[in-house]
Amino acid sequence: MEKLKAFIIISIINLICQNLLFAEDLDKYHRASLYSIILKHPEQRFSDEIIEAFKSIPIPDRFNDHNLKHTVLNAPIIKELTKEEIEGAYKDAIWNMLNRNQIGGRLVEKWFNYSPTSQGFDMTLIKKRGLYDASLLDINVALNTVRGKAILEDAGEELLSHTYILVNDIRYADKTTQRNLQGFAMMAGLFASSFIPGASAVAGTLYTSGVQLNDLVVGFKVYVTSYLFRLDWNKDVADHFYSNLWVEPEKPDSNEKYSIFKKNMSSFKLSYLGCTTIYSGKTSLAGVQNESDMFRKVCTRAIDTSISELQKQFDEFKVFSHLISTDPYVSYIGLKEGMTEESKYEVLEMSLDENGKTKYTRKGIIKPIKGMIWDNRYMAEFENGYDSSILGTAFEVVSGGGFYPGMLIREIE
Amino acid sequence: MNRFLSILLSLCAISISAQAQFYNPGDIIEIDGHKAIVFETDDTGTHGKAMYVKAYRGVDDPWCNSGKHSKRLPDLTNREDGQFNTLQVLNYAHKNDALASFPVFTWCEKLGKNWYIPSVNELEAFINFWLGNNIVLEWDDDVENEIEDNNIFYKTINNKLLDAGGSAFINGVYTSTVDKGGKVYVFQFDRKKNSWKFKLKSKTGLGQDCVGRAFVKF
Repeated sequence: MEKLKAFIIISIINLICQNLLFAEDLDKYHRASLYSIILKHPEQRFSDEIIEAFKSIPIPDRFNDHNLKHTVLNAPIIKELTKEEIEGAYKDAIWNMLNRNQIGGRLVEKWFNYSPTSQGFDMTLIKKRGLYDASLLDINVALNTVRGKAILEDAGEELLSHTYILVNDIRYADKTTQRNLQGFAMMAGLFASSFIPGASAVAGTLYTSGVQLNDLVVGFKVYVTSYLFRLDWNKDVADHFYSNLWVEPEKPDSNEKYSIFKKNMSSFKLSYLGCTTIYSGKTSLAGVQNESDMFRKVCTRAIDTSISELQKQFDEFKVFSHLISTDPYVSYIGLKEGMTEESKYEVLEMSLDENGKTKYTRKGIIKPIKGMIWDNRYMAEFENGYDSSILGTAFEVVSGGGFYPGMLIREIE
Repeated sequence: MNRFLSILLSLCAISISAQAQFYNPGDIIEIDGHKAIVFETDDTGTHGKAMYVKAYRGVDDPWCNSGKHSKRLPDLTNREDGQFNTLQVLNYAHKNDALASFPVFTWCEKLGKNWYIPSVNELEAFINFWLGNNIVLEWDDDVENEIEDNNIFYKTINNKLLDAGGSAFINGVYTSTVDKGGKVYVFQFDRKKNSWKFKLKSKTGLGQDCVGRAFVKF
């Protein structure tokens, strides 16, 4: 077993060195796009620190960054509810807040890259994220050719309809919050009670540099409830947008057409998918140099866990990774994505049909090799027991075959 | 004659444009000589609702101090229209020479005919504004995304009320809506839980700590 492990590790290192040369090619697949928001609770302890930590957390690299100008919104304060009324009430308050700020329309505006300079939309971002060819740059060509229309339809299905809004409600877990949230979450049936793995060990240990932290910061824990919404984009919405709301840049009527678009921003709707609540539990001080490191570590891991829990609930929110090698089978995915030894992944071949539309064909199923799961959690490299020799998760085949580097993998039930 | 007509038309245009004021929630305006804070506007920004910055408090049984009259009031279950409810009370009070039995309504009537004690839904609308639940952010500025002032929103509104010479919006504000059991809705905010609710209290059971607020439509 140890010899096998050593062989796999050496192979991985070799392959990683080789694949760094081809990293750009392996990166070519359609990612979902994410707008991540935090709700502000100014009345709560550590509110400022939580917001600062959140603002320093980038969008996970498996998503396109679709953040809008504001990523910090006021947490709604809702009426005290009876048990019968509580379900969905907070979610409705958030949904109303997003609609009031016309978030659907603003996400569409970002997709079509509105520029005050050119005073119009263009297809640059769609082309870049969709990896489409240059013919898509001209919307008039795209709308008037069979291939162009197919690509626009593909862009709609693959990109715009996979635009998500994640609203994160992060609360410091003091006794009052624990009591309130447990009551709230239990009544609403939301309490996932997911603990971040590895958090039970070494709590309270000082980092070797002997950094002293305030006791409250050492024991800093949070509850995170993450609400997942999706931009509604279908054929009807697309037809309406391209026919009636497209703003051609640098035309005499561009300003007027943009005003029409702005008046219609509310017509772009969001759908609510669901939510999850996780509790960070204790987090080790390994790697923590100062208080802001601690806040960032706790919040980053909590949000990563939230995302992986939501991906388990909603297939459409699952992300791809790709096989970087086939001997052994390795991918840059691991504990951060909620992987366990029971996780299974479908291997997909991405291709384009004759009209240029994307299709995915399952070629098989793989699962992680025991003891070879990559710990890619935030600041994992400082944890006791971190195996720096594992630089990607190694997999074994459950079914299928004919896999090659660049194929996509995605978790399945 | 033509010159006279043109001058007259110009004056009218100036008058109309001067009257076409646009308001945003949070603005302090003056109506009937009383300062009020705007909490709701229509799409044009020219019409909406505002709350008088001053409050009516420190009086025992401010809603009604007569058991006899409280039982004879007409239906006041209207949840939407506080002006309707207020008129119902005042019409009854005038007809029965019982204005003194309805202190807060008498106070409200003295502000002007447009002023009224809010219905439960109108008070809820103000509460949502006060809590910051209705904020629409500025998306068009070229300003970098900064963490805005982390002050609690309702404290900002309360400071505006105080700066305008009024009173902060606090617990105990009551409505003109009465439920089917004959009880008045009274606003209660729990700072620890950061949530709020309406409690029901007897029309004749509101204490000195309960607060009357007057609304106006513009």
